[in-house]
Amino acid sequence: MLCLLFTPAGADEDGADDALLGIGAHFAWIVFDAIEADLEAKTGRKISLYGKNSMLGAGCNAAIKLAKQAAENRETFGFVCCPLSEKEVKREGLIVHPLALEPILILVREDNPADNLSSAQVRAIFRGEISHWQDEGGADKPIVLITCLHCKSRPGHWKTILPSPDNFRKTRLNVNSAATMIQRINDFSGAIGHIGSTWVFAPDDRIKALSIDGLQPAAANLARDAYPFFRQLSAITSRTPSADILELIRETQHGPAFRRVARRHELLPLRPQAQ
Amino acid sequence: MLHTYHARIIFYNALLMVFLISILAYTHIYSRNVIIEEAEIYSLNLSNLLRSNIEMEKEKLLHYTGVVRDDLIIQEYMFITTEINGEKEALWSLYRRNFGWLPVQRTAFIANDGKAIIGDEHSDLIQVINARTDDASEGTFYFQGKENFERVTWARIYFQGAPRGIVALTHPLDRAWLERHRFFGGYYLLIDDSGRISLSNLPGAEGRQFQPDNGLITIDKRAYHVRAIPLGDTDEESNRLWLAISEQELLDKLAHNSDLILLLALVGGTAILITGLLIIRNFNRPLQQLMQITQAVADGELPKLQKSSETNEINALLNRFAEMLTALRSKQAEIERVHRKLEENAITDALTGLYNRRHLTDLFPKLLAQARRERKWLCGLLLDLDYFKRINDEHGHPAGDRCLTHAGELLRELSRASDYIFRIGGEEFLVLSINDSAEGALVLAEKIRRAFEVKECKTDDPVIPMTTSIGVSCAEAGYPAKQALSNLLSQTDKALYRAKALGRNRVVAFKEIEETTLS
Repeated sequence: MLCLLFTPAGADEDGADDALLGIGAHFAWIVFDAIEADLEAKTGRKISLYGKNSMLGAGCNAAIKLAKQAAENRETFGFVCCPLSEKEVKREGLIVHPLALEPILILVREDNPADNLSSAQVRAIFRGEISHWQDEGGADKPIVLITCLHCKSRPGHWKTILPSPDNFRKTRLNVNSAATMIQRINDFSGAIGHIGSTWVFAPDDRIKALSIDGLQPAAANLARDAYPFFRQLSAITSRTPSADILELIRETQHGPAFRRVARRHELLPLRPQAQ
Repeated sequence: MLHTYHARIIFYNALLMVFLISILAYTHIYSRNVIIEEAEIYSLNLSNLLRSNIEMEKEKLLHYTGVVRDDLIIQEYMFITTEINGEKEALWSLYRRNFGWLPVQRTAFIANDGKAIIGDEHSDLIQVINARTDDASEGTFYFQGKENFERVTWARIYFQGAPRGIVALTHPLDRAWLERHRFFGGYYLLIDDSGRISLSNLPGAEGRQFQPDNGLITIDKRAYHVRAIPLGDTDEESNRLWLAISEQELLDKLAHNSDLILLLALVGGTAILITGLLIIRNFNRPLQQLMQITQAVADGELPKLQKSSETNEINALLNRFAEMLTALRSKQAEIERVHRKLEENAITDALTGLYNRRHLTDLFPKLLAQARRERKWLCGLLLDLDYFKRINDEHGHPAGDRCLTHAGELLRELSRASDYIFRIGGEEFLVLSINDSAEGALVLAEKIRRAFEVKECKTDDPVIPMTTSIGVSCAEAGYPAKQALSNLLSQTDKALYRAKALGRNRVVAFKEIEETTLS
């Protein structure tokens, strides 16, 4: 998820009259595309979400900025892929509405013989303590570490692997987007990287996700705290969201449409399904 | 000299030919001088043009190198490859995917430690790049590679502010390069490290030692001006590529073109000649014909001129002339006929149709000459009709005229074809006759006298009896014609007078009178 500040161009004009305005990067759209129809039916309002397919400018910071812009005639919200710190929530005057936990996949190239690593091995690789696949019973190739250390001030997400950028191997490639991460892993046979489970792989991607400690990156394993790498997906609003915004978020948290997309992408919803 | 059109046409044709040949000769000489004088300037301009083109190629290759260097993904992959052990194939794959279209010969990526990341098969290139790159961020130079003399451009690749290696691209000066630059003109010589001509589009040059002498080299006995084309900053690079220009070759081209010009001149000259001949044929020949005819007319002839069926102006003029000649011939015939009539009237007597006295004067010398040539006698019979005045008085002048006509008819009837009969007075006639002897003339005279006596003059009135007296004499030898005629007339007249005196109707020979007088 990008961490650049962004205000959707034309947001005021496009949605001022009636629409609920939101913003979100990749995961938000994976979710939103699946539940948009249900949400609009429930709220009876048009929902305008910005940032689809955006490689820049629709990250967490942009979501926070838009959520803060809520006013009497301006109903806004945002989706963030990182858990916000309590301090940041207070400072920005926000309410965080948790949606789900998303497993973080540890990716290697498909032709890499390794299928499973322990979480300790993963962390050792990311720290640079292990630099060759042969050490892990893999091919005779050096390990090419690729990271995307975004939202460095926020807790969670990649910090479930290593808590600080300083802990990561110095000789690594830090990319700015999930798409670049995928491209690099595709190109380098010894590459290892990480990405959220909502990422949709292209058919010609030659990438696989490793099981960690023998566990697949699945919701079930998150539910029992067995899979170690994950992040929290949330919606955010101002402290005084409108009724329709609250309804929208409530439907996202509890509605059946979100459950369907969560199952598809191994997301672990953080609120029970409405009865 | 140029009085005739024929001469003028030939002269004008000759002028045109001379003019044409002069222009061609001048063009040839001028072109030759221009070639010789301008060869140096041509060489310089060509050299500058080529240098400019080479500079452009250099800038283009530097640009390509910069494009590769500035590519963020290339930078990242260089980093991955050199710093975090990513395989170099990914870099090569990326390069081919994104920059495979670049028109370069060789590509190399070199790590900071000088080892080849990409292009390790180009050891010569890697070696020279390691030797010639300094702390600069980019550069260019030429070097003699394993296969070709190449321009190399290189640029240092940075990632996250640190140098990660070098990308180098090369562009060869190979045969294809020479082919591409052929349109500039001239020949190019590429000199290798040993000073030999390693590559050239000049036939026979490759493999020879390049040793210019005073700016000239000789290949296959042909001299070429040579000029170095600067390739780079160093002398070594600047003396690698040379431009060769052959004056003689340019002159040969001129000579080749001269053949064409000569052919054109021949065609042009032939055209002029044919034009001249056509002019002569169409204009001069009819004019000459007219000249000949007019000259003949001036000489008193009226030649026949065949009419032409062609309808041009000259032939129309000739046809008119032919018609005019026909008319003139007709008029001339008429004139001749009238002239003959006039001539006849001048020598004949209108009443009897016999010759008159004037014709006697003209004819006598010829008859005298003929008689003398044939050794015969020319004799004259002078007749006078007896009592003719009485016939006029009694029967009238018409009857008298009728009797004179009758006398003429009788004389014509009785005389021979060789005899000539004249009416020399009112009722006097003279017969000139060439005889073998004087007696023959007397016989003829007597025959005539008797005929007059017998054959009377028949008129509207009763028949009028008529007699004649005749004096006979023959021309004497030893006198000129005029004197002989005078003598003859005098003698016959005397003889006639005697015949009249003796009672008329008789013949008297002058010889008899002489004899009587002498006796």
